[in-house]
Amino acid sequence: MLALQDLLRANQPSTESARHRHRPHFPAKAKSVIWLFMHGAPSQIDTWDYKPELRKRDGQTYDGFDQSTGFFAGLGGPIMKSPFNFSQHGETSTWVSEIYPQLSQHVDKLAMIHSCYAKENNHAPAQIEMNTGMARLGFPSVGSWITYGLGTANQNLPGFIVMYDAKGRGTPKSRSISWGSGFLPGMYQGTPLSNSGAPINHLRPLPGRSNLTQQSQLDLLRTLSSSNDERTPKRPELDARIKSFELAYRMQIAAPEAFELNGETVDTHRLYGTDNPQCGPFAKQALISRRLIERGVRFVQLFSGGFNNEDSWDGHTNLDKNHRQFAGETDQPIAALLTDLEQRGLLDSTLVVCCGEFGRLPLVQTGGTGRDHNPLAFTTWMAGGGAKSGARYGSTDELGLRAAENPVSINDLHATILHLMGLDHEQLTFRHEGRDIRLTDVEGVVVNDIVA
Amino acid sequence: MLLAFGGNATAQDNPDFFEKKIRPLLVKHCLACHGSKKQESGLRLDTRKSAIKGGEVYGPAFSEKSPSDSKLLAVIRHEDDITMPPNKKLSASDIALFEQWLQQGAIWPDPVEQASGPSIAERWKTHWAASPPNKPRVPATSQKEEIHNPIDAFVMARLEAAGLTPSEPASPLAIIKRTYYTLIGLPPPIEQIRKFENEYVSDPKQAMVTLVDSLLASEHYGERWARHWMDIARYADTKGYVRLNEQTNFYHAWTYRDYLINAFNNDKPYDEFIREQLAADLMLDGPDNRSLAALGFLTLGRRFTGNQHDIIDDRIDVVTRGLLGITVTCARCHDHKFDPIPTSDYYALYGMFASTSEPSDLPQLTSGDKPKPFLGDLAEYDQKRSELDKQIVEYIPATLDMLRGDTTRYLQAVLRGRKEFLVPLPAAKGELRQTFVERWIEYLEGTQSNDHAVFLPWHLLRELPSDQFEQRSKQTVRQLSAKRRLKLNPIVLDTLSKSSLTSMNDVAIVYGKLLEDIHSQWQALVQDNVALTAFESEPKESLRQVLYGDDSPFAITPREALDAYLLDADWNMKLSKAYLDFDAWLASTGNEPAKAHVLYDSDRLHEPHVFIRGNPERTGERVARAAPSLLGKSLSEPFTQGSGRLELAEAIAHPDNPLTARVLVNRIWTHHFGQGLVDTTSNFGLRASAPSHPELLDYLAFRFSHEGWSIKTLHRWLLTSSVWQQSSNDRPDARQVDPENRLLWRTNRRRVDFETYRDSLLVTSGLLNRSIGGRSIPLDQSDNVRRTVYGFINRTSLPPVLLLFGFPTPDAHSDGRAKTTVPQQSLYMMNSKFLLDQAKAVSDRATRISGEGNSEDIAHALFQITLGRNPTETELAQVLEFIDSEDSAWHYVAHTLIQSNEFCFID
Repeated sequence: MLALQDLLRANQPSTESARHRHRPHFPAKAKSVIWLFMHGAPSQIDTWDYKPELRKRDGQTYDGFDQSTGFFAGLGGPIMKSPFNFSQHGETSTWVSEIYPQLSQHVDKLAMIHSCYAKENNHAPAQIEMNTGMARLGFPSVGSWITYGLGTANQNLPGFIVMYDAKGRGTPKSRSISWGSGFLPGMYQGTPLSNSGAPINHLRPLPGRSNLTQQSQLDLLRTLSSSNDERTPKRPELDARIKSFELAYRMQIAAPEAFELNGETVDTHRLYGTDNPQCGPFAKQALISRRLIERGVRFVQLFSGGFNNEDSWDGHTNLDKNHRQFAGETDQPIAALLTDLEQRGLLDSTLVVCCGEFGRLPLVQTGGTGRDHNPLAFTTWMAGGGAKSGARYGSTDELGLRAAENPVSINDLHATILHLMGLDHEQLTFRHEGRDIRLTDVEGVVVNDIVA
Repeated sequence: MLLAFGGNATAQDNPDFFEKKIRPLLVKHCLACHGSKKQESGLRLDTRKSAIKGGEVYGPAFSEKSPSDSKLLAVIRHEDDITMPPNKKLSASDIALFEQWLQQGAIWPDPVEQASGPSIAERWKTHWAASPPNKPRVPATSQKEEIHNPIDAFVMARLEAAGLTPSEPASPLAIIKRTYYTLIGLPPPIEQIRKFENEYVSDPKQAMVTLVDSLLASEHYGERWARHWMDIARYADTKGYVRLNEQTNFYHAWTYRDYLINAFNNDKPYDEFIREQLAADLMLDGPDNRSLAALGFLTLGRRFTGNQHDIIDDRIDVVTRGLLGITVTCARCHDHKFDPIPTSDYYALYGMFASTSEPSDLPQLTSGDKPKPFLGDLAEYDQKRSELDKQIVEYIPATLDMLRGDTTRYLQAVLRGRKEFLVPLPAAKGELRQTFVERWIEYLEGTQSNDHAVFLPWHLLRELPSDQFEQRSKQTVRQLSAKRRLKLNPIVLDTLSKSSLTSMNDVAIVYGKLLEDIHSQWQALVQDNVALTAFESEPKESLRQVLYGDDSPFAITPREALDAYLLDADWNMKLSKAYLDFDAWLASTGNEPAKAHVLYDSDRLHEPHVFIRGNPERTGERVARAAPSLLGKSLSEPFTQGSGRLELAEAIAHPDNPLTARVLVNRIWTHHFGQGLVDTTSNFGLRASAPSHPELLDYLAFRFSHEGWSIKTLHRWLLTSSVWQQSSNDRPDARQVDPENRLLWRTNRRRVDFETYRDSLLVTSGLLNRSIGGRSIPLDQSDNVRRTVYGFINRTSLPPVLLLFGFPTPDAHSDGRAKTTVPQQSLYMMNSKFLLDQAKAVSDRATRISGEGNSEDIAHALFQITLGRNPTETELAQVLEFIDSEDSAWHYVAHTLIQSNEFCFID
């Protein structure tokens, strides 16, 4: 009988994962990614892209504005200044909105790209574009590509884990497409954690079955599979399945341990704000993210904000209230995550990415005090994992409407993320329907200026 | 090697530096103005030669002898009079790349000559799938015993040539199990196993014939093979992303699934099966219209928020990959890179689908009886229906009256013509409804043919040249007034002759005012007398008919009006909701009569153009609606009948079609043997993998298409072969020669798919509901003990367990299933309630069967039920030890048996 300890020690890749190469194209610092997805699209000009001109021209009409830019054609009103005060922080003297009192203390760590743009101006397609490079269905997400390219460093846990809105406000508008594996094998799809109960489906044994019973079952399973061993010397498909049972058995133990926060110190809990009713739920997810990458999970993606407009960063009607709420839910946890990773020496090997699916217009949306969607410009920041601390790349025009200098497409962004992970976006391909397909399609240029 | 390509790659150690670093920059920043299309100042930067030749104005981009002496570099550094790119300077790192490249000699590989080797068209001519299959001679082999039929001869000949021998037959238990699984997707009952074992010992050939025949006669056969076809047809019960306020469910998708089950069970000839799925509506003969359900093949795809181009693309894909094994949708934006499929072929099919439309009100399926609105309690239906009708009455007449009162504006809009690619959206109050403009245009086109009393003047006036309109319009009206025999409407003539007409716009105003006036008069009249049905004055009545007649633009069903977004946006929202609620209620009762998701040919056919780079706003050459040209001239003649769907079906289901039979035979082969004769089951183009047994493929395809297209016959051929009966045991000697078993020296062992697994569990536990057909039900519904094929498939949110086990996402046609083994699958088996419930039922059954016997009896019964055999001594000993241990129970043993490899693999 194979003891539990032996099982937990076993760490052989399954035959399935052995089929892919699972190593970087070139050496890289980053070993894992934590992607913080601000669902609903934060406004660049009210967060990271300071535009004093907005205040000067507040209330003026914007001549020549193309009303089809946003989602609600015709509802683009006059220019609206930011409801928030900005001040400068760090040695980089970076302007940051007051809604980020804690993150503003980390600006020197962040590499910011102010000139990102998207092709889509509605949430679901834009989220699909941001996560798969294509605003169409059927393509693998960034997390799938990276786990396909690099494999996982922990055979007891899924390599790509997703946590969506911590307050139970539902999935992203793009639903599971955002972490789907498209045409890549299903094993590379993101494993979404449910908000209630067991974080991975069927992780907990049903009540009444003892550990001993489980072990006896595994033993019997092995015997049943080996009864005609002599006649079939080689049968990888059968062995792979037995291995996957052993792995599943180990996961029952490894996964709950990874998600269990009781072992964290009071200081750590305080740092993240896990007890704070406003930011606590996201804080717990941020803390779990750290625990997961610590245990070798390759790609973790967090979504702030749920399905409905008002339940996400989608500040159409009252930007002030909306952004204060969502910044309040995420500011401390994200700042804590950066501090925590740094203190543990994990920041160098962990690439933290933060963005939405697009930006917002510098105009007021008629009928309220919010802003409509703007695919023409938004800010993405990265930290750790070989991203250049304090780098600032690209800029928008004086009102922050459009990426002006060094525009960065989503393909470019993806090429850069893969590059930081040691993957060449032109070489990471998968043969599908007779073509070697890439995450970046036929485009994508690495933004070398933000690479340390 | 790979490391050299990384961040610190240099030009010197790798000529790919140019391709990886420099060419992308040139493409991104330079070639728009200095490329093959445009050469500003005469400069081209797409080859080394042209860059060195330089521009007419400023000379070479760099010098051939010393590239680092470079105008190009000065220009991009902004150190020159001219600065490039014009809008913004390149980043410092990009400029550094150019510096590095130029310093190291500006290595720039010459373009690869395309002309080396034959063209795609020439290669297609000799491609193995390009000409209709003939009937190859059956090879002779020395193996006599193994030759049950010609299939064996083909396989044995290849084995012999490779110095291999076939494997011995598997055990009768393994053979009956694999035959059950492959034909009906369920495990054999114990009695059948014992019976077959006996028969097989005395006469294996006859035993196989009997077994295969009995399974083909089972109704469960249709369920199994319908599911295979549903993968091909990207079947789902929902539409994915839909238009605003559109219903997201295909409430009647199940009628297509049931059509498939019946088609397989009745062995509908494959050519007929194709014709019905593409054009059942064009083949109806008599009052029985149940074959209409077949059109689900075309209609049950994704809806792409109403984007017609994408919907058509999906339909082209399902037809071409699904039936022909060619990837036509690659040619949406450019000619196919590998196969002779030009964009014109894509748009020939595009034109066919653009010439069809789906009715808002679905037809009810009937064998000839009168359609019924509801199969349950009519009083309940009437009550719900009246709630909906109340809303209809509130919004629809008012909307139509609003549109009647706005006739002038619509007639003016008619003059501006159709919008070619209309994406209807809800309209605000007072906004013009383009969909209604289209209705007016269609109506007016219908009045062109005969001398229409009201609109003949309109049509004649429209033909006048605009620069002579004023003068010639007077003349036209005068002439018309003189021709009494035309019986033209006197009010129209009178008003026209009294008006000053400087352009058609004036004519539109005259007609518009007249009709709006008639509308007001009529409204006033019926207010006083609701019973009125017509004006007394005939001229007035003929005008009224334009607005109220049966063929008027206003003769529209409420659902059509809603789908065309004729209602003001807020009303549209309310009435849509009322319909959605009503439809949901109707579906929830299970008493809605069966309907079909159909499409019909439109009255107006679409004459397609190529869209340049797939962009509908850039139209290129005109093409005729036709089947893909690679099928050969006679099968790709332009369509002449309506949209051409039936003609396409005929071309696909033609014995001379080189692809159809080969593709289908290969699909069936793949399902049986776990590996295709051709690996790429939905791609038989030039990039397809070569067939392992080309002659066998042709032989089967030829006989299949020339002997009645019978799929059941095909199954009989394959499953009575001796190849089918081989053992799956490994043989190291053979493996060395043919590690992938391409030559079929043994049977491929494979895991059963999720449907078979779940269905087998239900058979083993005795809980399976064996009824055939009916509405879809959620798989996770706790009392769902029907076969998995009846599970409700929500495209946007597939049941997680299906995804886990490699069920294909129904976003598009699927050419096969992922065969992954992941620990989450094992977790599901170990810890899901469904499995444990089944295990309990299995152990209860075993206890019953053993007659409440001792532990040994129960163990035997359990093994018999689950694996069809008795336990070995080792197994029995271990089970007995297990059952004696603490906290143990029989259902845990059962639970283990139903997770075992033996239960989950086809051996």
